[in-house]
Amino acid sequence: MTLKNISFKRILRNLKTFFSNPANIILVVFAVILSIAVIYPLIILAFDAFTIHSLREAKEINEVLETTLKKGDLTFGHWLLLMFNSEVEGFSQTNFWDPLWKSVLMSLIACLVAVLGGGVIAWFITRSNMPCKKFISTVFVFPYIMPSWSIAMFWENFFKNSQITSCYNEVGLLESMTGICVPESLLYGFWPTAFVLGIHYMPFAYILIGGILRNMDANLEEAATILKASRFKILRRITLPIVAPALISTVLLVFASSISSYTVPHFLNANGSFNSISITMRSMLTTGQKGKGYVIAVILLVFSMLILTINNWFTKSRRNFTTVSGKSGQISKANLGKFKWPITALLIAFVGFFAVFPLVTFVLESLCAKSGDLSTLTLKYWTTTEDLDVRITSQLQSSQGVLHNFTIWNAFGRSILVSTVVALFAGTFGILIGYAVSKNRRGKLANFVSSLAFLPYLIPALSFGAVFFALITMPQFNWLNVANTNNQWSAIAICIIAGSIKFLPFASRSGTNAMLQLSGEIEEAAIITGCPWGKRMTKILFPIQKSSFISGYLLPFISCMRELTLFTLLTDNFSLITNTLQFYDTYGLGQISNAINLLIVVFVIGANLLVNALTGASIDKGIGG
Amino acid sequence: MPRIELINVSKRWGNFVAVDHLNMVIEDREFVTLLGPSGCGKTTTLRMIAGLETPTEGKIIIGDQVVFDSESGINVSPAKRDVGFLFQNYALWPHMTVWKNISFGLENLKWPRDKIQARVVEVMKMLKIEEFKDRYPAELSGGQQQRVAIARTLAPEPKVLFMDEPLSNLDAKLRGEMRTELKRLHSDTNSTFVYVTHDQLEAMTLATRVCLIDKGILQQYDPPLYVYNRPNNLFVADFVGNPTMNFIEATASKVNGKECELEFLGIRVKYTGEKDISLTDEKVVIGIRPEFLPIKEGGAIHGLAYSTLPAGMETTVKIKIGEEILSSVVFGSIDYDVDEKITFDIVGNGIVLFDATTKNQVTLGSVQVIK
Amino acid sequence: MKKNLLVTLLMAATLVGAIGCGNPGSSSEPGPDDKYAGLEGTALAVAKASDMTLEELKAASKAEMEASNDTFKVVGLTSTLAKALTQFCEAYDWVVSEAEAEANPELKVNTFVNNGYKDYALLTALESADESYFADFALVQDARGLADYLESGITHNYVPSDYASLGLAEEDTYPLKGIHFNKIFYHHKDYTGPELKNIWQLAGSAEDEGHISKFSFQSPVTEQINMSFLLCLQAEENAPRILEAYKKYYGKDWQASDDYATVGEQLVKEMVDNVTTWHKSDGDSMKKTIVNAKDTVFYGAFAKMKDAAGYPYDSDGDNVDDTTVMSLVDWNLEIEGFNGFMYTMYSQIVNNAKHPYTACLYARHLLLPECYEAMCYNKSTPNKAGEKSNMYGYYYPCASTTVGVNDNDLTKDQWMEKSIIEDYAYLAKVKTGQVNTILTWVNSSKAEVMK
Repeated sequence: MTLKNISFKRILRNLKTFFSNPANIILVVFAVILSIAVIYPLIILAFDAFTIHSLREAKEINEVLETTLKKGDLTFGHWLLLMFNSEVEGFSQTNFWDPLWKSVLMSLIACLVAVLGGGVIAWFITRSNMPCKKFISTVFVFPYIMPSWSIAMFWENFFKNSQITSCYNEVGLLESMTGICVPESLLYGFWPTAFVLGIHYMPFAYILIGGILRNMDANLEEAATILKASRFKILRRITLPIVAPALISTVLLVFASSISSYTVPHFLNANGSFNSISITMRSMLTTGQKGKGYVIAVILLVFSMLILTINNWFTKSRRNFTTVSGKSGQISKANLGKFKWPITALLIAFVGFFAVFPLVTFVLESLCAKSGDLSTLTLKYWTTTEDLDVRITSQLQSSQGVLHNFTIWNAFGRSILVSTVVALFAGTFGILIGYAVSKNRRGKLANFVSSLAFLPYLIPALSFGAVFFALITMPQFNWLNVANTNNQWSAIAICIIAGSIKFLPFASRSGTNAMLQLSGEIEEAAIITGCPWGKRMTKILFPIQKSSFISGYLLPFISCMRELTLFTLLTDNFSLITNTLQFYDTYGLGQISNAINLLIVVFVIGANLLVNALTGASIDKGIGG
Repeated sequence: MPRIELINVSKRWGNFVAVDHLNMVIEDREFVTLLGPSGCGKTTTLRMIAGLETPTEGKIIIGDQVVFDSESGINVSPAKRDVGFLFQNYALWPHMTVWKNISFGLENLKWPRDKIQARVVEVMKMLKIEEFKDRYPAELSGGQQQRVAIARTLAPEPKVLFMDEPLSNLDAKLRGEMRTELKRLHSDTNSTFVYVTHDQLEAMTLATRVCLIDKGILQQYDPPLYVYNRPNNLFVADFVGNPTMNFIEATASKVNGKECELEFLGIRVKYTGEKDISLTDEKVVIGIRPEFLPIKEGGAIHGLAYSTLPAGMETTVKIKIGEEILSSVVFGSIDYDVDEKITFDIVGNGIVLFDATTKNQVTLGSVQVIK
Repeated sequence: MKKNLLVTLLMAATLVGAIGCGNPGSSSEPGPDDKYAGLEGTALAVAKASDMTLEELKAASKAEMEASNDTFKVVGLTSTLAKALTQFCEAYDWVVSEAEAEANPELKVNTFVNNGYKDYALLTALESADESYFADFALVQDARGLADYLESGITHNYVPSDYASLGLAEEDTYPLKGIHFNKIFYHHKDYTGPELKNIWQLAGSAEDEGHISKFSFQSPVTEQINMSFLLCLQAEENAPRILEAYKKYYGKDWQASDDYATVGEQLVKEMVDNVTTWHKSDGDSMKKTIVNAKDTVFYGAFAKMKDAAGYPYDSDGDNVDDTTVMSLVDWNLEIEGFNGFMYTMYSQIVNNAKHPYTACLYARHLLLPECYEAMCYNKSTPNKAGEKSNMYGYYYPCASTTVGVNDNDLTKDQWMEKSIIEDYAYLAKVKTGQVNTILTWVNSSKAEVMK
């Protein structure tokens, strides 16, 4: 009896000690929250790949595999029918294997484009005396800020030409300006998709690689210079190997995003020449073959996790160590000599083409009564108070010009609200996780929490959305379902929940990085003076790393603002600004959807620049840390 | 043989002047330390000579080669200046073993394999790091990393070796040992060493000549003891020596050739300089090294023992006179009670007279108390 | 369902606290009437409603609405549902629409329509009705999906007892028809390709005389109705007209071969292979036509014809400028084989409905001429002569209506004759393998050969 009491007391005391440290409380709380919010969807996803979702699926599996399964049963059938379908010749080949390996190849090419392009620009900006750096680095991130379909849309608008049937021989910008007609394989299909994805993620690679180059001790390169290594040799033997682990992380992130990207492959597949695995997955998920769709989702997830493991193994090897930051203020910049201006001009042209030109086309498209026909310029789609389409009006929505359109502005307001709250949640969680993880660097629980916080990045938005959709269709959570409540607050609430988790990874990354840069003594100095934890966080730690932390808020905000896939199932057509974009597009009001796209892009870029000017935070810092 | 000459070298970042019209000559086989407080431009100077930083203007000559000239647009790359550079944080390549780190530079010189082999073994032996040859830098201690960095720098046998605070990341004991090693290396390798430090003791003990820089401007460039004994100005006098020189504000009167009368802390003295005294006005500062203030019974000046700091070999005594605290160093161990009355003298010919307005040294001389 | 149970358990345990997950109506008491034995919940209500007279149904609806604090909820894909609901509310006192409440603030709105779904989103959303309340009434498209839901009890089919008097045939009642739509082959007014006279011009190869090599079709991978169309082409009942067209085009009888067991299979495979562009949506294809795809034949929704001129109807329908409506599109109504596809949106009562009788009443109401008029005629859809006429591509499933045919449109019966008709019974039985075969054809038709 007494013995028991003693050990119980001891446990209690140990617990008390453990929980007297705020970092431990945070870790435990987030371990629980994230287990529910992240592990649980993963389990559901895995389960779904083995579950029969409908009678139709049961019928198919029973017919082919001669089983007697019913709806709700567990089976390997989806895997067999998807990967080794004996019933329909060529089905597995054309609906799984081909899309899979081509998508892997596509993602690898996208990685290569992104890393090469982003890396080269990062090198010029951090390591050379190129002029106009500020301009280039500011503008260069636009493609990443824009909704992912923007570049694909622009690509199509630019390259379509009268020689290509699959774009209905429409004349694009390139042809109308120069008369050049590119072949079809440059407009649609595998290569353009890979390339456009590469361009979309190029700024992302630039931010990551630039961050490393900036933080990398320049002395390492200078030491090689003194020892008479050529510039190229330094790059090959010193710079690249040292940034390799980071490059690999970049490749991982770009790969994971590319392979599950849906919008870009969808846009650039008008001639049906390249069905990506994401297109296949989506069509399975949305056309009654859910089981097969979830199998693909699981396979994509396994892919990402494999690469994540490889990446971890790489970064943990003994070759890697955190370099003592040297006198980095004194990095010598490579002198580009007579190539200085030609290179700058080239980069500005490149950046302008993919970052500014798309914006111009959005403006023009919103002003042309007939798409692409500049002789039909009109302000009507911005200013009219007349209804442009009675079918929209009959749904009690506005079809007036953008400036008078309450449907658009309400949705815009809700998008801003959702994004702001998501940013507040994700950003704050990120800081707290960063704090707790940095205090327990080698702890198992800390590792667990930080891995969990990163996992949502690897779950395709579509599957993530589907899991939350399953949640809100349950009676207890019906109040979160706008389709049930007819109250947009429901949509706002569920989008905030889903968004806060989906966009947590970057916030927690930048939070952790920022916290790791702070020496523990800074906080200890405050502890000694008896400053309570909350005050330490808000009065000491936050102000010191203010710009990094604010960047951790900025990235979820931007991502959320332009997200569509994740929220599609959780909202109705008017909940968020991206919904309305799609809505007006389906009603043939391309001018308005272009205008909405412009609104989103300009708002997001504006927000980024404003926050940057006010606080020094920027998305570069958010990602690069 | 290399002789390094800097002519009117300046470096500016926008409005910030890091180095201002610096002129100096480093003779062959010298061991020159660039000394000064943080941010004074010493590292920039070193990096400009090495070619890692491009001067805004001026001319740099190494040996008989002009390696930089802003007027004729010459800028020889660091690789072609035939110099070695030892970085403060060692800059060892984390992805290469110790062996690779050392042999890398030799490979760049296209040395034959066996020669590289022999040289790497040689320098590793010299620095006693043979056993670490297959380790990665992350697996070495700070001192070991330091040795590897030195080995890497020395391997190609550079004629000129630049070092940027190479000992600042080491603990005090290791630092002491490395100093000894460096001084030996200097004579063993027959090279010219240029060494940046903010530690005056390091500068004094290592160098054949010390170059003191403050705010980008050269303050004094002389052998260590000369700098110690004959500081050009108040900054140099203050920066060099530990405990620092005592500075006492005084009023000068009756200036007459080499002589004058000084009054400070209620004491009147007769000062005899080495040369004629010329002052802006009557305000002067007298600089007295602690060793020139011997405490003895029956000394001419009275004070209180403010605190006593015995270090074994010598004892530093802080003496309070009026509101001033003066330092005195006495050989051997003595201990005074707090506020014990003591007397002392001002002795020697090394009492420095500074012009309080220009802060420059006027002359050295001796002091006689006028009773 | 394990998944949902898991969800319930976890969420309940962690977030909500211990909420018991009840199992509503698991034990069924044998009803007084043997006819309804084994039925329960919504199924029972719908079965009973199907036997009721209109008066009885009204009474049941009134009773349930008055007893309920919830709104009567209608979901679907077409905006006309909202107009129909408004009209429904005008007809019956116990249901109140937003429009009525606006006019009379004393009334409390107790109806709600959500018609903004994409087809797959509605189908996905409906699945939740398996276990919980989702909506009362749904207008569902995609026969194959619906067959699955009817079989699983996710939706229930109501048959008005007086269907015959509404002008419906018995086969129109399972599933109960709501409204018809159609898709046709069309092209630009200044079309430059060979005239489409026979459906086989879209199949075959370039060597065939009159072969049409530029053909735009929305991928059946994303558009379920097009999948239904391609499947129906393979139905036995449609073989004769395709065979006849084959003979007319090639001048010989069709023969089964190793490649193709049926003529439908050959037509579908060759047509899929012949597609040059998979347009993203029918609206998209209409926009493309307007611009300058003068050499391409399109297959798309007839309802989009009002976008044909680039400008939809003017907002004040009185002065529709008839040069802008459909001034750019043309089609041949006498294509050998068929002109297009006629499909249906079906009225369904959603499982776990809170107001099943009202849902049935609404389903019946959709079939009334006055409701159809409210749905498909508005001030912007008179024909050139100024008579009431339908919206392009929307057709009344019953016999007589006060709304006439719009210019350039045909009646439902005329279209039925010229089109392949969506066959629910056939589609309900189609094996997934057959669907997957078409998917395979689609995905391999244009795939780039990669080295």
